Amino acid sequence: MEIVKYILMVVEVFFIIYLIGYSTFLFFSVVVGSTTLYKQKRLEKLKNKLRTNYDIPISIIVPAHNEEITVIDTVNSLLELEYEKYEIIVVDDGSKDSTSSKLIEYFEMHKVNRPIEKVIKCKREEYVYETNSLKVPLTVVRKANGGKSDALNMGINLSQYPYFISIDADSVLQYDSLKNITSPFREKEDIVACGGLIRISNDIEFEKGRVKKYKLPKNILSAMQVLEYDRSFFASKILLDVFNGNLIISGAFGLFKKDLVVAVGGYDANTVGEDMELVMKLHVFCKSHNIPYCIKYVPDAVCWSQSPEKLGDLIKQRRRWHMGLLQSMSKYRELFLNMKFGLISFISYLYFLIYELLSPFIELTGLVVTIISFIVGLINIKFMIIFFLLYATFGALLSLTIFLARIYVQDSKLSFLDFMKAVFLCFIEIAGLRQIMSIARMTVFIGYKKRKLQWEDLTRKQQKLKI
Amino acid sequence: MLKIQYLIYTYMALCACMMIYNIAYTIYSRTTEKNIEKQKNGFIKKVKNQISLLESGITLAAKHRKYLYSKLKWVHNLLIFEQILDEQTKQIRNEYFKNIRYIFYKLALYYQKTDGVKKAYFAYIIGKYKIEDEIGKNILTNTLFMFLDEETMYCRDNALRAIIKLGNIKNILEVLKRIKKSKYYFSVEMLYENLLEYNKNRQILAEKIWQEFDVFNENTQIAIIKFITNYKLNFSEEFYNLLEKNIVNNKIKVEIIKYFKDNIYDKVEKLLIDYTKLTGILNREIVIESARTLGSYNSVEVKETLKDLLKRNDWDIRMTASESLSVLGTSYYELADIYNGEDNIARRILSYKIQNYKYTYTNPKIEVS
Repeated sequence: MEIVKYILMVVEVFFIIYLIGYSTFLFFSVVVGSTTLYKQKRLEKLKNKLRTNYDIPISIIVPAHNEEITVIDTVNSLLELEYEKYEIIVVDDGSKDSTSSKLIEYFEMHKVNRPIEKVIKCKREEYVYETNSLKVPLTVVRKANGGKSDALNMGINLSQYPYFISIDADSVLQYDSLKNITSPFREKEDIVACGGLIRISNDIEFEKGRVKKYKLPKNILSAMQVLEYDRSFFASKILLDVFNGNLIISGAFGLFKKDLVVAVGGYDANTVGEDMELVMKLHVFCKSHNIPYCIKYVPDAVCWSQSPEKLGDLIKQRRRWHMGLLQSMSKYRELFLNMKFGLISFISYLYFLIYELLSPFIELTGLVVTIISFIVGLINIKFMIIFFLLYATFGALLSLTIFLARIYVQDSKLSFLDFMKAVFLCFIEIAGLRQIMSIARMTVFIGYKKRKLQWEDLTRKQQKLKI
Repeated sequence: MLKIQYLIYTYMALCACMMIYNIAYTIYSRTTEKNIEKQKNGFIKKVKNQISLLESGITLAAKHRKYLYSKLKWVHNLLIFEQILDEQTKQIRNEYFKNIRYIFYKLALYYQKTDGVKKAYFAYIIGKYKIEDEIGKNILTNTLFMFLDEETMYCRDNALRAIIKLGNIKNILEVLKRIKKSKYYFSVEMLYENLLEYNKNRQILAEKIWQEFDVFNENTQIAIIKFITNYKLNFSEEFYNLLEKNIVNNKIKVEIIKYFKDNIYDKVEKLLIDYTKLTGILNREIVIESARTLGSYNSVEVKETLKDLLKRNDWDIRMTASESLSVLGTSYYELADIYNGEDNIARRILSYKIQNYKYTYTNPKIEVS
């Protein structure tokens, strides 16, 4: 009995340290995040911004699979961008619906016999259509199904400009997003990639790439994801950016230097988390070859993306993300406690390892230990409840802080009803959704091999766009 | 356990402080915005009163100058001031500035001691309204030069822009020279875009800069060539000599080659043809840009050169050569050896580019809605 008591005590202490560690990271993220946002607002107000008329040429790659509902809107929104020099490449990765034919018909494209140099390996193309009659060149290539990475690699092979952007086919880029995402290239010499801010577009109406009115999504699950995105992704990315330590640039909106991506072999077609894999690969490659580099997070470059509104869809999405995380973390395990990689190793990698990859398993173990402790009467129930309530309140307050900071800086207005909704949902999110997601992430291995290269088959809605 | 609880309570307290800070900041910002609106009305009244006095031939009251100086030391008031000025006609603004210029000399001394963000805004105001020094005085110019050594990049950018907008060639040359010695990074884009702001006689500016071209750093030299190219200034002879003497590095060569695409200069054709014969990764850009520029030089030799480039391993070189051949309007007969040759890729690239070129020129751009 003494041994059991001792083990349980050790486990208890471990969990308290674990939670304090997580809260500390969140705390720093939110402090740095909100401070950065306020600083950004001040800079903007006092005309501290590089005004740019000279556009860096960019190829926008849109990998698509069964996206006939959204793809025309997506391309139309891309044509609305306030930017001069870019091209749009839609890669239809063996869709079973009429994704490419809808585009070809709508934009009156013509077939071309275009030879493609496969600087990065990818599956064969079936046909290529183009049009030069629009604001910028539009290319549609249909290829054999090979997964999102393979589609992106095809896009890179087709691209004519030195920088490319990858975006999801259900996303809407804000009118100024290209100007903003390219701004770091004017500020620093060694930028190799930039990530934009992903925001949830559900129930938001757009006009010419601008938000007509901002509001929280009606769907509770989507609204909770707004808070979760702000706390877990937005704030932490700003913090990691301080020391060039971001390990992920979301596949929904990222800008990359093409020659470097080609040098590292492009996207890995054998992973489902191609966005994280590429960024980690760039870190390892540049550090190993002593190439000065910088990967930037640009919070004012905004991409609006649909979030799952059904729990089943959300679980599918998170399982996929977790699998991608596992694949990337294990592939680049040399980043683990390695002096060569500095803070990337000791903060970024460690954070992703403990608080992202292993967190569902640690949290499950915690639950099991709590139940055992309760059964054998070793638990201080009062303390446990206080601890949990404090943890939940703490997390909820942090979510709310960064959410309000972002609202103030980027949107300015939020209705009182939405504010109350946010206050309520931030508690539910931290003490409900997070646990459900943990369980979902733990089941990541079930059916993994079968779905390894499959696209996320989520329910799509048409965006509310006014051109 | 109690200790851990205290730790958590401390965390909570910190978090609460942060929340309070956020709320306080939001309330402060909102209140400031409302105050700005209120103050703006008062400001407009005072400025308009002074302008009416000026129109009646009465000199600006010393009291008003003092009032303005005390107000404009606060950057928020400078923001309001900008809004007020933007609502006035150019004529009124100029007249007003003539009378308050002295205040800006004093303000310059004040803003020299503020943080980089405020300095940047002050430089922006100087540039926007082209507030100049009095003859024989250099307070504003010296302030802007000082701002060029500021750590904040936006401050350097705004100061650079202000100096160029003010249009004093001597000062512009001095700035471009200082950039070489600066410990801070000035990107080609930043330099180029700011040079574009010069709106006096650009040919004269370019000629003056050219006389000291060797003094500048590489980024500045590239920005200057881009500026000359953008405004199609007459520098064919100078650029050609630079290429012929082979005294510049590849990056500068590439920029000069681009200049000759829209500024046809027959003497350069042979040089460009020679460049296309270069090999190796370091010369790749030179070959590509030469092939592109040769698309503006229609001769048998050029066409043969471009056809030779179709046989290179590098696809970008092949693509560019094909594009140029398309632009030159080459006939099937002239390209028969490529179409009937064994190089399948060369044939496909050429066919694609020619098809693409024809399509683009028979289908003008349309607006999609």
